[in-house]
Amino acid sequence: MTSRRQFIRITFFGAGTLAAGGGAIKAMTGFTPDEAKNLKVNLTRTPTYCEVCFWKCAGWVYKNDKGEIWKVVGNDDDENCNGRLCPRGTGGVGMYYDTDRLRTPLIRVTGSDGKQTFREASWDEALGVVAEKLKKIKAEHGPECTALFTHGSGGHYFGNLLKAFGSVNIAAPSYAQCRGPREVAFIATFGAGLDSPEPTDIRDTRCLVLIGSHIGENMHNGQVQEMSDAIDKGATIITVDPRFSTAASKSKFWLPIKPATDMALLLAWIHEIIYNEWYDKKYVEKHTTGFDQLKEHVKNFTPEWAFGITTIAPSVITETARAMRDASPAVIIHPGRHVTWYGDDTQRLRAVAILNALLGSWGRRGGFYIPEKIEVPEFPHPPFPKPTKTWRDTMGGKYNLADLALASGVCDATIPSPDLNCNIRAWIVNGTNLIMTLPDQKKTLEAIKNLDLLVVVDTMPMEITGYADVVLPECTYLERWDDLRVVHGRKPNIALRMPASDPLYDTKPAYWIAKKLADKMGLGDYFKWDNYEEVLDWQLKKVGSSLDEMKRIGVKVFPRESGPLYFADDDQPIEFGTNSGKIELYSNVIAAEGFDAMPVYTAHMTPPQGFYHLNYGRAPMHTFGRTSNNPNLTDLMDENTVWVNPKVAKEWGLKNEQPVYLENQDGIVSDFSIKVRITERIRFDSVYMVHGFGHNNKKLSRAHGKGASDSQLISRVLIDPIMGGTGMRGNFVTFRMEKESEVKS
Amino acid sequence: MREEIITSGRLNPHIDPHLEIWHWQIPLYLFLGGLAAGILFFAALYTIMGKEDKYPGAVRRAPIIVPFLLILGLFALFLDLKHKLFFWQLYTTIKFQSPMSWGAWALMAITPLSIVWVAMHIREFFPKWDWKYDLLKDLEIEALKYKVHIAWIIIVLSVILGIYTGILLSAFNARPLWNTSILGPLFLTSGLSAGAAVIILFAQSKKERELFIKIDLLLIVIELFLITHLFMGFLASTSVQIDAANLFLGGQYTAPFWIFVVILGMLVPAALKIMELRHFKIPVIIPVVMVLFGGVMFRFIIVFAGQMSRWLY
Amino acid sequence: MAIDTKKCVGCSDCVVACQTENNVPIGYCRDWIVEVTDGTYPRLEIELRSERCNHCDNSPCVRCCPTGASHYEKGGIVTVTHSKCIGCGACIASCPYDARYSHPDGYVDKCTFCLHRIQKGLKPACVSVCPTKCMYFGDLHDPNSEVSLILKKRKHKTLIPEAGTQPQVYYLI
Repeated sequence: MTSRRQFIRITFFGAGTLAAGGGAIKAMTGFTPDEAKNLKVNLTRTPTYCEVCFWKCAGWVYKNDKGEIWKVVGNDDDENCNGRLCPRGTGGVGMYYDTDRLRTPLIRVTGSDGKQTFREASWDEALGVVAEKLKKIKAEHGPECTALFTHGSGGHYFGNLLKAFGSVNIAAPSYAQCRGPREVAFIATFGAGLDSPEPTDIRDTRCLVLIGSHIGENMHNGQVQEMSDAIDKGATIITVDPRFSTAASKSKFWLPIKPATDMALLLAWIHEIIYNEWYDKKYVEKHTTGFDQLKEHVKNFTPEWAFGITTIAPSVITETARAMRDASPAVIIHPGRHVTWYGDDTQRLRAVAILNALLGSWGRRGGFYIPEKIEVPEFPHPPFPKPTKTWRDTMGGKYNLADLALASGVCDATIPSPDLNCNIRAWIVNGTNLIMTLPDQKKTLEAIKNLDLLVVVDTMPMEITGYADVVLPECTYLERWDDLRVVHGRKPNIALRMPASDPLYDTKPAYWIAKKLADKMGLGDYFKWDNYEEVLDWQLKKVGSSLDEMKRIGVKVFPRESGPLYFADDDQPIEFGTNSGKIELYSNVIAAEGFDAMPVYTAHMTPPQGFYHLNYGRAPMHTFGRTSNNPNLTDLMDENTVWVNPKVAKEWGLKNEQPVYLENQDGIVSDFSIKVRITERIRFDSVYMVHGFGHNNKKLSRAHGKGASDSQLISRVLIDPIMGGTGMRGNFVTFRMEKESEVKS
Repeated sequence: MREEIITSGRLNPHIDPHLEIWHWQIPLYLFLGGLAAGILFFAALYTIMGKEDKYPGAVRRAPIIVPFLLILGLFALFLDLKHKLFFWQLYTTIKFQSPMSWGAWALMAITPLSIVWVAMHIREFFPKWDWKYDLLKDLEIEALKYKVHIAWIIIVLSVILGIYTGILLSAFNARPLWNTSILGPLFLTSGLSAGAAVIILFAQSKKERELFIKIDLLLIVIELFLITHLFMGFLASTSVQIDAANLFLGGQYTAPFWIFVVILGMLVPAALKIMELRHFKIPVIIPVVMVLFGGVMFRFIIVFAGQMSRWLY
Repeated sequence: MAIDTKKCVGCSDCVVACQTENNVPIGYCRDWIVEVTDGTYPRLEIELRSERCNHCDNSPCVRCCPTGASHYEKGGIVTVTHSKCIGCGACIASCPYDARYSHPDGYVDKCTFCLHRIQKGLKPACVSVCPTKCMYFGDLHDPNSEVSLILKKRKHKTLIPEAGTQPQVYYLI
């Protein structure tokens, strides 16, 4: 029996005897009520915020009477979750108890037989190796040739370390591989990005339009909760998706659109809204510029024109536009989150932004509220040195509108090429499994080959660890302090993360790793604290709280200072963050870069004969590949399936649950087979699979070999010319019943 | 197209992909219990009818194996329990709505009684048996005095033993294959048939043997009739019952059921018995073994196929 | 208990919450999600249900238990007294919903409506965690309880009522 099993067995009686009353106690457990009262049951709870996904819901960790972590429950005061965590958050205990976790630092060594393996090392030794190599790179090439890839709370510490070292190449894949286009599009239109969590006022909306967004299968906690509230209030949901998603099943209108044609639909909607005079006239006049150019621009984008491209009937296009008008301004054309699809994504999100602006939803109840974030001062440190070059210099003058570093760009800049006078030589990777995150795996692997140093800081032996020179085991969020969570929301708020347990095995928190590394590199002044509680208490006192208070309440909400949640309905002018100070329907800043000032439709490649659009998405019980080994969550779903339309299945003679291999248009075949799910829910020209499976690292005992990896099949990358986003939906797959070669891992 | 799936991955051991909570221990017990019931029934019947001396094989000799059958059966049941240390809880209460509770108490009563019956007739096998203790000698005398009364108790208990297992299974409306009131009588008849077959082996005279061959033949005919009735009932019932019946009419259990249970376990032995009655030379053991084999297979198949039949998913 | 199928998104939070709250061993579950899709593309409908023991009023599992380990608690909640359970498996075979399972420790286990929480005035773990708040729990005999009121307002159904068990988990449709 594993220790987890023993834990369960011992505590069951503990929980039962505590609460049962009267005769039931004796019956259930053999204890009399008096004996039960004397049983010590410790229901203390410690505050934390979840690290499983970016939503960072605040919660409480409960321990049982043996002091072992029992369960995680949401914090009622937190607006991100309202006291209810999502399945991954609730299953976060699985991350803690996963026996496949990384346990000690590892250093890559080459044996006498030439074979490379990892050898266990002490922290001192491992950090020493990293420090040495970084110093060497600084001496030979300059500190600017190092980069950090991060996703999660560790990014702040390693980011500071890198900046102190002399580099600002800090990239999060969540930008160019995910939400980048919408940030650029919304900044260009409204002068403000969306950030996380998106300020969508779903709970008060009367019409929610989801374009490829599958709320309910993507578990953006607060948004799923608010969508449920909206359904209660009778809101109209319009879903545009080639697949019958869960959201589509709750929609009044489901538009089963032909893949890659959403732009045409958006333009047709803009056309209808303008030419039927369904837009919010007062709002448009008061707050926007470029209306006349837009009106002229969409003149020919009629529903009939869109019908030919999208296969959505003109009457449906008009009817749904009318529904939006009926709800306006309490209407949300949801921008989605992962929007890197076909390479024209910034423009598509511009169309979304424009449509929202026309309907007057930005800054209005039921549309987009005005979020506010509290300013928490940074713990004092010496000023960072100014680097002589940044990631932007490697872009060759492209993607000037990108406001954050492109992870794919940094990866590209690691491959030596005549355009670069120096390529990046060292990567620190924390909390992101680049092998499954960046599209075009071949390129990622090539980039890694050119590195002098790859340091991976992670909790689990994900694929990226297999390529590392040094692996540093991080403890899970349940075992450490961390920065305060400061996110924007309807009310400014902060949340505390406190360890519920000491780090298991020989793992350490990221802040400790960063500090010790800094000490070894002579950068100790940038981390001048002895423990992180010191930093937190200092910060909390600056905002009128204290560590003791936060330990008790977990989440502290502050009153708004920047003004009301929505625009006032008066004649006061409102300044937007754009160059013109108004909402730009015609984008000057985009035009200045040489791109279309207003979106146009571009036809995208269709699948060759026998191939199908590769659509991928999320399941509510998993977060990318991060949870595919979590024991609680693999209990729910341990592999993905490929959704195939019954007509297609009949053509190919496929049976339900039959394992097949997927081959993409570039001849790449999936490492592992994937089971077929024959369902009416997917269009006949597409297949669908959930992202995050098909792991080939054998150390992930529950995830290895389960399902197939869609990332492996994304080799055709459609780069967005405006901000460098990597469009991933231009890949097609076909079925292979057998595979010739053996899988190597 | 209708697609009904469990998306949160239910894979409870012994429940999914289909119910398998009972394995070989239960059908083994069902057989042993049924056989024991059959033997005791005839022993008690012919005692009550006063034909003890005419059919000594049935009354005095065959019952010797019964205590062993019952103890073996009880042991199999014990092995099946998953919370073994608590098995004694069965005897702290009696639940009239639970056939398993009746069974527990019936077994509790009939096992010692069968030992008493064997003890009463120990001299059939060990003519020079001496009880040694006065208490036991006195008990023997008392028991023989009340032999007919004991026989009445035994006959009632043996019917309960033979039929309750069928009633127990038929009370599970969740398993459509079992949910038929024919199952009780069918189990009883099968048990009696097995008992009669074993008694043939212990028969002391040709007349006794012929009687029990005729009895067994009659019981086999009744069984065949009940099986026909069973299937007619299923096929005229609800869709879950029709699906259950289809397990034997083209489904996975078709061949095992019809070949092992019906043909080898009922029709062929019946034919052999008719031939025996017509004075053909058939080794006695063959039809007996076939009947017993058919009885064992019948119970195994019913228990396993029944667990496959279901209402949902 | 009443569960609104129109709001449920099938996220399985109820499954994980139950597992951590009740220390259900990994590999076992007391509740599960069923997804039913009807129709042909693109005319489709989905029903999502979170299923568990229905705490039936006429439960075959209580009826067939030979020791009385399976019994009704106050309010009609069906529970198992572990120290009375012999592990015979009759109740497991008798449940048409396959809601029970044999715990590795030997006794039979299933959803208890989080009796230990109800007795403290809390709701069952699944109801408390559901992000769409689609689950309602309360006293069906009290006409003013939240669950009674919602059943009066909405159309509802139970699972295989023809099995005759009188299940007490209602699905709002």
